This record gives sequence, C-alpha cells and structure tokens, in this order.
Amino acid sequence: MRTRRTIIFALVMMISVAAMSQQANTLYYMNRVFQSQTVNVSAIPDNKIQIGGLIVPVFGQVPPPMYFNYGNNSFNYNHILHYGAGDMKDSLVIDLPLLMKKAKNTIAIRNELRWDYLNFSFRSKSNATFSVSIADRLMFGTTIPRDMLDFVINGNAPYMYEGKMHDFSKLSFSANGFHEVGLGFATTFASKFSVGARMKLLFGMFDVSSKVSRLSVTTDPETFFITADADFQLRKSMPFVEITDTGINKDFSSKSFLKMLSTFGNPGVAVDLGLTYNITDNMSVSVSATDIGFINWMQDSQVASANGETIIEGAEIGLSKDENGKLQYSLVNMPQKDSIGQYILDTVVELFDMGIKDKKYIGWLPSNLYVDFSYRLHEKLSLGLLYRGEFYRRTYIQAVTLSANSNINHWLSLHASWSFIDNTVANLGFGFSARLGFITWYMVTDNVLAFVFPQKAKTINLHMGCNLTFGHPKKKSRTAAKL
Amino acid sequence: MRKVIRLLVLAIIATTCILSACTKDNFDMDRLSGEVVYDGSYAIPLVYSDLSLLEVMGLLNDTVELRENDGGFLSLFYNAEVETKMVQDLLNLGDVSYSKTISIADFASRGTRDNSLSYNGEEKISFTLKNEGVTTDEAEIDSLVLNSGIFEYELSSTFGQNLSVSVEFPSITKNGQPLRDSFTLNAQNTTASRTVTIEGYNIDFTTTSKHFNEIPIKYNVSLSYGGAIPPASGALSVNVRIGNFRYKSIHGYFGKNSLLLQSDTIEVKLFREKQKYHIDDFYFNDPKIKVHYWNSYGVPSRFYFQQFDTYMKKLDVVYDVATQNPDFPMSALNPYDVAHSSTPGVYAEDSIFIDRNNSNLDDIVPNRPTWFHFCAVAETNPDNPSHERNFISEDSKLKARVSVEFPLWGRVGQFYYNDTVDVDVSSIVGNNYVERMAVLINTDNGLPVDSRIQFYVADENYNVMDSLVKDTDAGFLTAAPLDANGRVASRISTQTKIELTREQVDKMSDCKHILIRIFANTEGAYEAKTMKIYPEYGIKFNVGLEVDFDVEGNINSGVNKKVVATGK
Repeated sequence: MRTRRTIIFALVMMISVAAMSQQANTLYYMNRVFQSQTVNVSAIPDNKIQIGGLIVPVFGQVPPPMYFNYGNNSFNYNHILHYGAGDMKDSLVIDLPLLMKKAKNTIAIRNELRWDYLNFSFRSKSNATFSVSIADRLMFGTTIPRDMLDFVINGNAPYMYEGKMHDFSKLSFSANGFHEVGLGFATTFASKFSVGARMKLLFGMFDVSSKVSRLSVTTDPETFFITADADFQLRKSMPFVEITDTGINKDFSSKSFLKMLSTFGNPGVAVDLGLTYNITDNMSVSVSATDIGFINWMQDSQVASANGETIIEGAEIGLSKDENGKLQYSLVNMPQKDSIGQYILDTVVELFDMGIKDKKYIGWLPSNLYVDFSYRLHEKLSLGLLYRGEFYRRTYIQAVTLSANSNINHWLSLHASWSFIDNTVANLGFGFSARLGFITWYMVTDNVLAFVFPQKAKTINLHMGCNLTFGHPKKKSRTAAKL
Repeated sequence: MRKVIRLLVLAIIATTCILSACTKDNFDMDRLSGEVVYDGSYAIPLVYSDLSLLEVMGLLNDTVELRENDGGFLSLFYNAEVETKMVQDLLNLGDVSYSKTISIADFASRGTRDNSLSYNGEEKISFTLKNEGVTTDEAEIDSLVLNSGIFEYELSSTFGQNLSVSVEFPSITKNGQPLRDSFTLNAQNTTASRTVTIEGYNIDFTTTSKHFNEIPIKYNVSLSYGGAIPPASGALSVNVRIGNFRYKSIHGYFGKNSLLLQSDTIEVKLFREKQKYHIDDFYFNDPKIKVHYWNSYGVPSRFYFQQFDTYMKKLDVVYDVATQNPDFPMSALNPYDVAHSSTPGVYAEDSIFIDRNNSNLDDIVPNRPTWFHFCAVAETNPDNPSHERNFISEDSKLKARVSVEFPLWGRVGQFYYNDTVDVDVSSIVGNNYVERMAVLINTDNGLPVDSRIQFYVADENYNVMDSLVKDTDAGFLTAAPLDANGRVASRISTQTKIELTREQVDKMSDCKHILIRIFANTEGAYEAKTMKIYPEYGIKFNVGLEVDFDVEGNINSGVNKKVVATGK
C-alpha cells in the first residue's frame, strides 16, 4: 500500500512538477543586477564592476548563486491529486478526467537548474560593458502530445471508432547537463541604442534525448491491430551506460562520474543577442534572444534509430512440440518470467528494426525570444510589458509579463509582476535587490505564490545570489540602457 | 504607520504558516484515498496464428503422419515398421568339430626314416546351414567371406617322444595363402591346446567332390624317437573345433527357411476414445493399408501375414482382416512373392496395397478400428527346384512398413471438439471496474469446413453460468469456396464478436473454467458431398480484446460507486 502511494506520488511529481530554459521574466527588469544580462545582454548595468558566483568567498555563497525553474504548460499537482468532496473532503483523490481536461495539445514540461561559479562585469566610462560568466546548467524537458496522454488514460478505442490516429510526433524528451563559459559585450551607440552579444562556449557533460520526426499509432476497428508508424532517434552521450549487441553495460563508478564532470569531449557554442531602443526618455523597447546554439555530443555517444511502419497483431501462437515430443498449441517465443523486460525491449527493437550506432549528434538548446516595452511613469517607477517565447523541438511556448519596477533609492530596488505563463494568470512575481556597501543581494521569482501553494503552481522559479559591486552611481539611479 | 506595517507583516507570516500547513497536506500520501474516476476504453490485439497443414505435417512424428499422398492431397498415416532379425542370428553355420587319433601302428604303416616316423593325410570337414539353430538339410553352401571365426586345437600325445604336427585348410585362404598351423609335443609337454581367431578369410566349400558344404583338412605328423627302436605303443589325439563364424557374405543355396518378422500393433488414434473430440458421421473414400518392403536378401522369398487383426470399437469385436476376404493379397493362403536383391548391398523394394477391392476395409473403417495387430512371415526358396543360388550379406534384412492410410478424401458430418480451460479472472473483473468487454475473433479460413463455436462460463463445480456466443447460428468459420477441380479457390473471412455486459463480466468473477465447444463439418457433408484436403490449406485467425472501464470509487476498497448507484 505504502509502496503504491509512493509510486503514485513520484509519478505525479514527475509529470506535474518539473520550463527548461531561462524563464526569468521579472529578472529582465532588474538592471541593478548583473544577472539580468542573462536574459537581456544589451542591458548596461548601473555598477562599474560587479563580481559574483561561488568563487567569491562567503558572499558568493550566501545565498548560493543559483537559478531554478520549473514549468508545466498544462496542469499542476492538484489537477491530478486534490482533496475530494463530501466523504472524501479530507482525502486526496486521483482525478484523471480533470487531468485530461487541463492537458493542452502539447504538454510541455521544462526544468532547469543553474549554478553560477563566476560572474564578472566591467563597465567603461563610455558604457561599454565586458562580462565573463562560468556556470553549470542542468536541463530537463519533455513534450508530451495530448494524444499520448489520451492513449494512456482514455485508451485507444475512442480514436479507433472515430477513425483517427494517435499522433505522437511532437513527443520529445531531453535531459542534459553542460558547463557554460560566456564572454559578453554590450555598448550604447547613436545615443538611443544599446546592443549586446554574448558568446558562450559549452562543454556537454551528459545527454539523453529523443528526436522524433514521425510517430503515430492507429488501431484498426476490424481487427484491433495497432499500426505504429515511426521515424525517431533515441540518443545518449554519457559514460555510465553503453548499449552493445549483447546488452547494456552499466558503469556508475566514481571514475565514470569524474569523467563526465571533467570532459571537454562534447563541445558546443551558443550566443545571446540583445538590442535596446530608447524611444524617448520615458519609453524604450528591447529585443533579446538567448541560448541560440547547440552542443555536438561526441563522447560515449550512441544513437538508436527507428524508421518504418509496423503492425502489432498480438502474440503469435503456433504449433510446436513439447519436451515429450507431443504437439502443443502455445505462444511462440514465450518469454521466461525473469526476462520479460528484456523480451519487451527486444520486441520493440525488433518491431521497429532499430539499429544502434556509435555516432555523434547535435543537440540544440531551447532558445528564447524576449520583446519588451517599458514606460517610466515616475522617476522611481517604471512599467514593463514583456513577451517571451521559447522554441524547442517543434514546440513554441509563450508568456506575457506586466511589471512595475522601482528603484526606490540608491540601494534598494523592488519589482512586482503579473504574468501569463504556462497558460495561467496566477503568477504574481516579486523581486528585489539591496546594496549594502559593496555587496548587492538579489532574489526574484515570477511566481511567489508557488512557494505558498506549490500544489497549484504550473511555474516555479527562483533566481538569487549576491554580487560585489563597485562604482555605483551615488545619486539618481538611472539605467543607461532603459532610460 | 510602523504599527500597520508590523500588523501587515504578522498577518503575512500567519497566513503563510496556515497555508503552508494546508499545502503540506496536499503532499501527504497517507491521505491518498484511492478514489478514482476513470472511464478508459482499450482495444488491443491479443494473439494471432497462421497455421497451415504443411506446418502440421512437418511436426507430426513417424507414428502419425499427415503428408501428401500420390494423389497430391493429404492422407493420415498410422505406421509401424517390422523387420527380420539380424541375418547372422537367423542363418549361420553351426560349429563343427574334427577329431583324429593316430596310433604307432598308423605311423608304422608309413615306414621309418632316420630315427623318425611320419604320418600325413587329407580328410573333409562338413558344415551345415542352421536357421535359428535348426539344420536346414537341403542347404548347399558354396562360399563364405569371414568376418571372424575361431579355431580351437587340442593335441595330446602318449608317445613320450618328440612330435611335430602341422594342420592345413587349403580352401580357407587369405590373400591366396591357406590357413595352416603347427604344434610340437615332447616327453615333457605331452599336450597342447590353442585358440586362434581368424579374420578376413574366404572359405570355398566347392573344392571337394561334393562341391558344397565341405572343406578339406590336411595334416602332417612327424615322430622323432631318440634310440634305435621306435616306441612300441602310444597315440596322438587331435581335436579341432571350428565355430563362431561371423560372415560378411555367404553364397549358395540356402533351402527353405521361415523367417519370422517381429509382430507389431498400429494404433489408430483417430478413432480412439477421446475426451476432447468426437466424430459422429464421417466417410473416408479410399482407406487402404500399404505394405512397403525393402529386401536385401538375395533369396527368393514369399511373404504373408500369419496374423492381421483389428479391433472395431463400434462393434466391440476383434476382426481377422487377413482371412475374411479370399482376395486378401498376403494371407497364409495367398502369400506374396516379394522381389529379392540381385546384387549384394543393393535392396529390392516394392509395395502391396490392401484396399476396398481385396479386403473388407470398407466395412471395417466405419466401425472405427482403433488398432491393427499383425505378425508376418517370410519363407525363403518356396519354389526353387533348380536350387538357384542365393546370397546373403551380413546386413541383409527384410523390412516392411505397414501403413494404415486414411486419405483425406471424404466428408465429416458431425465433428465435436470439447475443451476446458481453467481460468481465474476474479482479480481482474471482480471489482466491477469493467463496464463492457468484447472479444473479437477474425478468421481467414482456407479450409472447406464450416464451424460454430460456443464458450460456456462455469463455476468451480463445472456448473454452467452463462454462454458467451449469443447468436448460436452464426458461423465461426465459413467454408472456403471450391473451384471446379474441388480445390479451395480463395479464403473466406469471418468475424465473431463476443460482447459481455457488466452483468456478464460480473459473472466472470465466479468463473473457474471456460468450456469450449466447437462443432464442424466439411462443406456439403449433409448432401454426401465429398472433398479432398490439400496441403496448402490453412487457417489464420487473430483475437482482439476490447475493454471499457467505468470506475468511480475506491481502488482500495474495490467498491465501484457507479455500480452501487445504478444498482447494476
């Protein structure tokens, strides 16, 4: 009983609590914090010099300089498990119809964890800004077509009678980790423009991902035969697992772990671009694109490819002789109980005629587009309207954020936002930066409610850290990039 | 103002704490009720099979064979093979002995020379051919090629002097050299014995005046005495035993011999009492018994069945097949001359058929013969006054395969198949989660056979609770259409869908057995239409399962509120 509950909880958490790339809409306006350059590289920081990251003793670690983001565009935890009504008001009930009701055509689940080791920026008198960043990023993302959820939960019979196929072609899965070294430059020009670019060198640690071009399942109402039409790849690059003709070799030793962390065998490159136009002293627009790039997975990389159509007719039964030479009518190639897992794997490989090759492949990063309009209402208050789009593996996810941003005084800035993210408006964001001497703390989230009601959150993110700042303008706080 | 701010902060902290407690409860899996609302519907292919008669033919063993006959269609064969014993155990040369005593008088009659006496001579040793130990008097053996044989010599002398003895068999040769042996006796060694195994010798029995069955033996004895006077008395006794012959081949005229073949019983499983199937009305157009023999004896032989009985189950009688019809071709009264080998190492073969024209098989088969028992005999040289010469090799054998053949040419009117499958699906269907279930059976029939099927749901005491096929007239298989040549022209598809309502599914929770009843007949059987079954005939089918779940309740308690609410 306990085990079953644990499994249910784990499954719910896996599919409901898991946005992959930088989704930090409120951070976009925190121009006193160098990290806002991670989402808009054309932003010119207020401070002349900023140093942050784990490499900075004491202040670099309190709080830890990290970014965490989770997003699910379809459902939250309570859309699967929630308190019931009547006799069940004190009990959690599993609500599959609600889950299906909330599921979008493509269910996008994204997750990212980022650790900053070093952030450094230097702004010259001419507002030219140079920056260096070193970070580790772990990303997990999956896109589940609604048809797949429908297939599992509602079954294949409804589509069968409607003569429709279950289309899984937008199915994708990706889990990877990589080191990132970024070199950025931003500057103003023609008095009203600022432009920035960051070149990022990437060094992949591990990757497990899919590449689906075509995947569908059709059930024949006359025979119940299931026709699977597929063109997909399963790819991996990691030292822990090697797939051979005879099986799977696993090596989860510390040596493999160290090899993964220290490898430079999976090189990649990415670029962030940004442009800001100050229309008037009070109005500005900016456009930013981040994480446009890829990693060439070369080390310990294998690709399993499947292409073709197969018809599943069920298990074959046929005549054979038993151990006494007597004719028997039984399942052909009946698996032994202890090898059913291998049997299913072999069957799938056989059905799709999957070939496994040691082969390098390219994995693209989830890329973001930000478009912002800012208006300064008052010397200490500006409003922002931000559009964000994320493109990854044939899936495009959009969000809009309204924000109010105030540099209250020369040491404190406060930021509040309301966002439409992951198909919900229940996202109230909050952020602040506080400078005490040469130390600036910051913390920001797009959905503060998620920390109170995680069971109702589709988006949970938090960006925090501490920078050593030097050369701060003593009086009026102006943002060169925005105002 | 500060007071307001403090109150505000306190309110936020308090609210956060309370809400956090509520939040924590959302993740407390001890509160998981198991309450589920679910109405999925699945259709899956379960099993399929593509079975051809060719495949069945490949798997059947030697005692039951389904294979293509000379007419190109299928026959069911029940076989048994019988053969003569190893030829050397049947026909062989018996052991023979030769004895000779030579006295001093015999020596003296030949004269003396230089303190020695000598005696030599030539005699004959006769052999006879034995059939399992009994002498075949008229047999005339010409020659024999030995694999092996034993010569045992025993010599005894009472002369007390030196004796030199040599023995030679001029017609037992190897590489042109005759078989010979020699012995020496003296005052100290007055006896001698020796056993010699010989291999690869040829024995020619035609060198004596009789020209068969005899071989000559030559001997030469020399007695040397030391003094001037030969011994006054004494004798030399010589005994030779020749035997244990294992031959490669033997030529001659072997006479009349009865060679008994092993008896055997052919079980006809088709008509044995079976729990699973029963045939009420059938007709085989051309049943037959085929005796196919292989004969590597170079001996004219006559073959007949000493006994050929069958048990007819329907009449409960044992019936003598061989004597009831005077035309029966291999009875004791009407034996059959089998062909024989004309060259050593090559066998002759032929077949004899027992069918409706020379036997009562047309009367026997409808009465369900469940076995045939037979015992066969072969008689050599039954009519050979000129003593035509014969030969046999070490591996000569008369072997016969007796096949009771039921050509699949005819009709089956009422074939019933019953089977019981033990099932326990209570854990699957017992919780009322299944709203509806359907089993879909598609057949692609390439047999000229119509069939209906019924499944009965039975409890642990085999009490039938329900039947699953509601349309009992619906065909499970529809006979494939035949062309002008009586051969299946195309396969025909039939679909059977067995629908189970929730009530029926509920009954399945007490189901411990599924009784399967199949009824089949060949197409047009009731109009006495006959047909042939060809090897390419076969059947393909697939079974699919459709299940509609309708759950509103607790998966732990197993109570489906939907069922309770509707009173179903």
